[in-house]
Amino acid sequence: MTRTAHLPLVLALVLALVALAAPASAQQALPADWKAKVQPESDDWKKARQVFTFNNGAEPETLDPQIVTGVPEHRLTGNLFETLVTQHPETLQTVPGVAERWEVSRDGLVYTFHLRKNAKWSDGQPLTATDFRDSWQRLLEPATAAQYAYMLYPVKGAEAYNKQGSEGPDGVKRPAVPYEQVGVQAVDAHTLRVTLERPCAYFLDLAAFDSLAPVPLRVIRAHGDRWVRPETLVCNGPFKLGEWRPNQRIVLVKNEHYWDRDFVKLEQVVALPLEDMDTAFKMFQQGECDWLNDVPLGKLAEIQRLPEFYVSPYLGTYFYRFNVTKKPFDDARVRRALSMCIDREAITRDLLRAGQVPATWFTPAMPGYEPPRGLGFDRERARRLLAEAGYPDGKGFPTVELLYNTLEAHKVVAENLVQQWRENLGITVSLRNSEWKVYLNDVQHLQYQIARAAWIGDYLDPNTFLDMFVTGGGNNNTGWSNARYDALIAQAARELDPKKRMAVFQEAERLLIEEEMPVLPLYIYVNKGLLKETVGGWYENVRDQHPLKYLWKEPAE
Amino acid sequence: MGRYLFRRLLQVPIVLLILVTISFFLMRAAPGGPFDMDKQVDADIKRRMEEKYHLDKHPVVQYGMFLRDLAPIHVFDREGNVSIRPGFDLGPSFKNKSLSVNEVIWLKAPVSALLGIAALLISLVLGLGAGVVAGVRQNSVFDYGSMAVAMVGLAVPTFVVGPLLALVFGLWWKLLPVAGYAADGGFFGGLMAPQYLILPAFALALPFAARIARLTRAGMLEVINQDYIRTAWAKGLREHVIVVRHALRGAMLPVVSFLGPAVAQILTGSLVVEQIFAIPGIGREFVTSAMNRDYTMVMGTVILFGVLLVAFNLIVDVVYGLLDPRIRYT
Repeated sequence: MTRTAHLPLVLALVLALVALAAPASAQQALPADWKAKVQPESDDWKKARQVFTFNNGAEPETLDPQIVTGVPEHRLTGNLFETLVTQHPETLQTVPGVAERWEVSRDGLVYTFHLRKNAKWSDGQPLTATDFRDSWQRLLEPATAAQYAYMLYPVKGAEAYNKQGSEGPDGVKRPAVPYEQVGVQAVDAHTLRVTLERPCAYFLDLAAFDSLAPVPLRVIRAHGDRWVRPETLVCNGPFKLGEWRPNQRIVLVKNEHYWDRDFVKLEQVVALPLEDMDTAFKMFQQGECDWLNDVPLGKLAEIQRLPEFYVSPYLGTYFYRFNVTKKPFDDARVRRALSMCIDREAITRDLLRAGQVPATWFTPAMPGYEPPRGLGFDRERARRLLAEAGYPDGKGFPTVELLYNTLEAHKVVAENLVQQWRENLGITVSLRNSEWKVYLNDVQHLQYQIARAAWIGDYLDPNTFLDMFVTGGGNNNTGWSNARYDALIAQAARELDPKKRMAVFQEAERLLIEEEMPVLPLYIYVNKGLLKETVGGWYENVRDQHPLKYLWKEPAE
Repeated sequence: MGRYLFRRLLQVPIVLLILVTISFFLMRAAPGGPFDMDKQVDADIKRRMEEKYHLDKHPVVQYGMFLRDLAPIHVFDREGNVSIRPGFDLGPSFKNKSLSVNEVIWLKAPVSALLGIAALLISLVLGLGAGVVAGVRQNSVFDYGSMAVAMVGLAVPTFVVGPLLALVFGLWWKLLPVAGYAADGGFFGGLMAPQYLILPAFALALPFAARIARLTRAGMLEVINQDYIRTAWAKGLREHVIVVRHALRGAMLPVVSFLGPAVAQILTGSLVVEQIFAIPGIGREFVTSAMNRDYTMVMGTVILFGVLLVAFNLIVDVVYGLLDPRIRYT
């Protein structure tokens, strides 16, 4: 999953049209003493050197929270910059950030955030509501070219402001929009009022997203794209940037101006950009690294026996796409046949061996949502389906091609499938591998017959998986279009009752993976890694999100 | 000699210009662009990112802008006013958004150069030593032994040798760090903490040492039976004088011509060695920039390698004349 899982923490544009199950008020149902529960039990930790070293796996492209898109960047910016609200390290519920409290109007359109009076920038300057208003203006400014500008689209006028000056679908340039028309208002130094275009129950999730963090505009004006260097970077989170040596290490140090500095236990955090998992594992063994968020697959058997090893479900699916616009995959019976003759367990058990969940469904199970089971292994039925489609015993079936991006891990899975298809259906599938960008280009332009794919959920809701297959969806990439499916996804967006909404999603997914199958799901990803037992305050969660603010080091035995 | 050098130097910019031009358009012709990702970006936003880096313009226009920035001296600024600034501006990197390509090269190339120099010295000492002795003592135990080792050095890839070295000397014997680089970074930082360089330098040097050993041995065998060596023996010179003063000079010629491109290569590092030993060098940029379609960074690495290659080939030609008195430059 390397680059694929380049987990863009995007909330897809379509999300803007969807109402999430949990209403904002339910999210605040957090025990008042929640913070005491994520504290160490004794004072032993004070005896340990509070330095935490982890492998970030890649060199970040930048540390500008409004520009970053990948996971390695997010692991740093999320700790350098603090948003209005943040998320609980274990349950991922909304907890206060720069805003100590907030109110939502009865119609769900107006959010009023009350900022802490002691919120400061890392250079000691006060952080005010104006900073948020102006930072969001920069995020929306067309010249910033921020990929995640659309995170703010639920806000009134934000989309129009972001798209001003560019050509609309009618070929006419969109008019200029003054920022005053955007629903962001600094009522006073410590009150930010946000007016939405339409009710958006997940707006607090958006407000916790990195792109919506405040940025130091005076610094950016003075230094341009280079403001993110240690000499100049000013931030407002629990940590500030101490050192940045490209491809060597990044050091975060505790921010003495952070409003909650007494809670923060780590003094220093070192992020290494090691790409080679073997190297990272050796450094872990030597005690030079406290946390690896991935492990070398070749040593999995050895590593699984270590007490530091952990594995937990992840919000991601490994699957194949069918190009349904061309023969033979324009026939749903063929697609179903190809899926039903695969023994997925053999793949996860014998090839992948890290506890991945074999899946005949597309959406990973999550709180409140149980995906339909899909079509299990049934060779006889698969052969019958293929015969019905006009290819008895695979006779007359054209040789088709399977495309994957060049990587050994994808190759072994594809080879196994080719073998299963030949043995069980009598059809021949050839393999074609392409370099990453060529592969992306081919998939996006439907220049393939079967193509490997993966999807990492952006938020904890089935919509992030299911809405991609609506007609013309930006990430559909199968050519599949189904009016009933589109209607179901739209219905789920309107439905406010959480139970009913999940039932609608289940119906949609059943249509997707039991009848139509434009995709062939294979397995659900897992988080797997190594964590030193001296690290405290670290919780497993499906987003693999571990805010440094809550971590500490215990002394070694 | 002087005239020859002058003529060769005049060719350099032309060679580089051809190289840059071909690379520029080949890169633009490759499918996909720097802002293509697995999750599709909104078309408007993608267009704006492309505008920001002038990727919306025709490739020929982009090429013109690229050459303008690359000029050694800039006389006019963007508004057309006279303002003289140093040039050789390779532009911003699309991937390392807070750094320019020039900065990436300045940061990382010295690290690779230091590692490369160390690896070069190792491969010369090992390669020449083994090659000379193997050549002089043909068919001896040492000959077979060293050539067998050289064969292994050539055949076993760095991604096997590297982790093996780290495992044995780092993890088991704990003599050297398994990976990493001097805390202070850079060329001099690295020089002050050589323990980080030893394993990667050996891993990088091994295939080069093996090539040098084989070439030296072959060169030795050819030279050792020639008349002028027989004359030297007849004069009653001692063996080490004959070998070092007379035979080696001639035997070195194939090695020297191999070294031209090899030095350029070894000084610019290697992705594999840098990944295995976590060295913050420039070698990775040669591979990753092309994969990321980081157009400006690709041009930076192409130019860097091109300049080094041309320079070392020129040096090779000069050294040839010094080693072989029969060569005349006109």
